[in-house]
Amino acid sequence: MSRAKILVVDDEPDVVETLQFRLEQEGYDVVTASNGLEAVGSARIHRPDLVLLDVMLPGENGYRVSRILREEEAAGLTAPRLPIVLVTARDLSSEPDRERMFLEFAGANLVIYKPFDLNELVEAVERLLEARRAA
Amino acid sequence: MATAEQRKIREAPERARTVCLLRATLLIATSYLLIAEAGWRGLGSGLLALLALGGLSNLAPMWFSRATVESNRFLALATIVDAAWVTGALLLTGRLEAEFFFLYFFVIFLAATGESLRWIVLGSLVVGGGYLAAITGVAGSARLADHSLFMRIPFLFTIALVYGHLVERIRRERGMAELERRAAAQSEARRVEAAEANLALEREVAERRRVEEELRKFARAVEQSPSAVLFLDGDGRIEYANPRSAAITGMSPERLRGRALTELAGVERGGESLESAAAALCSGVGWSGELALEAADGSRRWLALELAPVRDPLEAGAQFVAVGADVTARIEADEALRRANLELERTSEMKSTFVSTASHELRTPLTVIRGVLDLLEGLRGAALTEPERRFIAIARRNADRLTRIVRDLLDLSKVEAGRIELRFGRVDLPPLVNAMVAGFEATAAAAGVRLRAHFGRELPPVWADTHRLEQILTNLVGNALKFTPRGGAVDVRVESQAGEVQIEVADSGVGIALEQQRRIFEPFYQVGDGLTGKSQGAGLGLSIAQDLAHAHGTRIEVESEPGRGSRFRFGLLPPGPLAEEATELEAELRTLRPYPFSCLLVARALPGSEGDRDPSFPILVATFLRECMPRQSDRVLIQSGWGQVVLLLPMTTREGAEVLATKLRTALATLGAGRDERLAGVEILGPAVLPEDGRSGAQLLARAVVETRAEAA
Repeated sequence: MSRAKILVVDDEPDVVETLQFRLEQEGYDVVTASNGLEAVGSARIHRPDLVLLDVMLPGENGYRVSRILREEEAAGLTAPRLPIVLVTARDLSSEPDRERMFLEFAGANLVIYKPFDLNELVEAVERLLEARRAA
Repeated sequence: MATAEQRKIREAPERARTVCLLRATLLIATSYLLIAEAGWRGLGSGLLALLALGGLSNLAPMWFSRATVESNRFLALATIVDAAWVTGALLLTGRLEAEFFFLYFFVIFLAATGESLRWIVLGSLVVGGGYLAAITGVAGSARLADHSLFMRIPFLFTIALVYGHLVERIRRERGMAELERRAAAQSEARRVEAAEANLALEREVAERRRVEEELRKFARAVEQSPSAVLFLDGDGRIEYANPRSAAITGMSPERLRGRALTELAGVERGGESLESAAAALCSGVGWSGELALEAADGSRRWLALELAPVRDPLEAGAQFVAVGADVTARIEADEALRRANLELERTSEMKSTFVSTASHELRTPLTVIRGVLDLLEGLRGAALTEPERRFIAIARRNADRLTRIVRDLLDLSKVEAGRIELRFGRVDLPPLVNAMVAGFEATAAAAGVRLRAHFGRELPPVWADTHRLEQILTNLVGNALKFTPRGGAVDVRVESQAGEVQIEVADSGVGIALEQQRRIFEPFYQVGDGLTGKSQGAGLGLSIAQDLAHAHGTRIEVESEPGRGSRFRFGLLPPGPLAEEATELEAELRTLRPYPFSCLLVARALPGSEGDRDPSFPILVATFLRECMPRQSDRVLIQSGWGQVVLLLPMTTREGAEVLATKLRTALATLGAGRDERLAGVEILGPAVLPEDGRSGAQLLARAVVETRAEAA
């Protein structure tokens, strides 16, 4: 089984580096992008198996990038059934209605709030990839 | 010399009377002569009948009007009648001598001519001569020797003279008397007339004086009125301004005169009242409102003005009287309050935004720090020395604490902004409290504090959001543990009390001084340094707990004494209409934050009235009151519930609320009564001034309701 490829999108190099290091430790291939445009291009070229997408990006925000990725997926330009994980500092967990609304708008699979625990993040990534393989 | 008028007076009325007199004389004389001639026995029935006819014809004037009696026709008729009966009598007695006949015409002549004595004498002489000639001619000179005939001549003359004289005298006297009477009457009439005229004049003067006095009184009242009084002409130009209005505007009455009211009015509050006032002036209807006038010194004075048309039936076009009071102070106070509130709102919003942004910004670096620490630990693994491991642990613990603070901050900003969603439902307290206590067992054991939960009997479920209720309890219990020394106790008690479920968290800790009790619910407030001497949080726990309690329509109360522990307690309502109402009301209140509600009015039907018994009546009242609210008061919260209607007024002074209460009372009594007579029986209680924080509206309401109910009972 080939190693799963993960696209990490964040405009903070420190966040990208930390995530990349941890995920590579877990044996994933990691590609990175620092904005939405780059992320969409990268998704076409590298066809990642999962996207970790920061919401507060310069230019198009994460919700919109996520929508674009879903359109790309529908057009067959990315891997099918691409799991998208939104990462945001805007904690909406106390407002479940708004959280659901944003997730639905973005078409993302999961939202993780900063600050997150790296181990928990890795577990969530593994769960999503497992579910995709099973499907 | 008698004037024509006097003669007329003398002549006219007496002719008839004279004729009557003479005819009566004729009758008596004839009767006498006949009796003397023929004797009583000689008077046959024919003669008697003729004498009776003469008598009756003498009485005839009694049955006719004076004008008829005096007419020549009547005179002629009387003459013919008299001639007839006298002639008849002469014929019957066989005395054809014309003595009576001449006598008769002589007398008639006198009467008919009504002339002076001179004419009577002259007439008598002429007729007497004729008479003598006639006798002589008829009977011959032998008759002259007849004694009786000669005897008659002086007799007849005497009669004629006496009567003529009498007639003359009577006429004169009557005439003079009449003249005098008329003159007297005339002068009397003139005197009365003059007196009357005088009296009327006096009355008029008095009336004028009274009117003038009245006018002066009115003028004084207007001049010295504490209100501004203006008279406007049909074009809205000032015709008169009293000193008070001059004082308000700082312009002399002379300067005000001739200027249009609309010209004086500056930009008006809300932008409409000047226009509507101008429209009212144009269409000649009344108007009331508040107008800003530009004073002489350039400052703005507010006038609460009543404009009313004054209609004068004699003049076309309406005039206006305007009565106004200087309400600058009130409006400026209102404005200041509004500005302050706006400022407060802006500050609060800014704070909220700042807290939200700052905490978001803090999260990313925190993520990196925690991630890197994890990585470091993972990379070195067992190779870490003990101090290295401890330092990493310290760094991670502090990163975690910072994370918690950031989370609390965000929570607080959300609660303050009314952005948390509460999901109310039935909550059974024992399982929830037990689970929470179990969660704290380890902490309590480590701190050497005994933590226990106690439950009262027959506990009903409560109406709450499970998750938020848990958060309140966690914050209270965590706080209690933090401030309780080793060997102390923290007790959580839940019991049913007066229709509520009371939840209490009591500790045997250090306690809180009275002056601090008021502040412990403020964000970032720290009571001393806790037991450990270390600050363990941002001081947000209690503040969040209190906000969440507010969201439940309740309030956490604290009772404490330094050294003797603290008791935090709050009540929750069992599920039911009251609880739902309270939480709904609270939700509405939160949408209106940060507008603090400053005053409260309660409208309710009189206890025991028909409206009081109708459960849907408060909805009707609320609908009606909403319609009655003046513009610019869209932030007034009108809520029906608990059998009454509650009005919460934001940014209002007590005076403002009183004005509104009065307006609403009037509206209920007039408009309301026209719509539904039960509305006339609605009373408006208040205003009650709310505490400044204004954050616990529902709780206060509940209290106000309980109080009004108690009053009603």
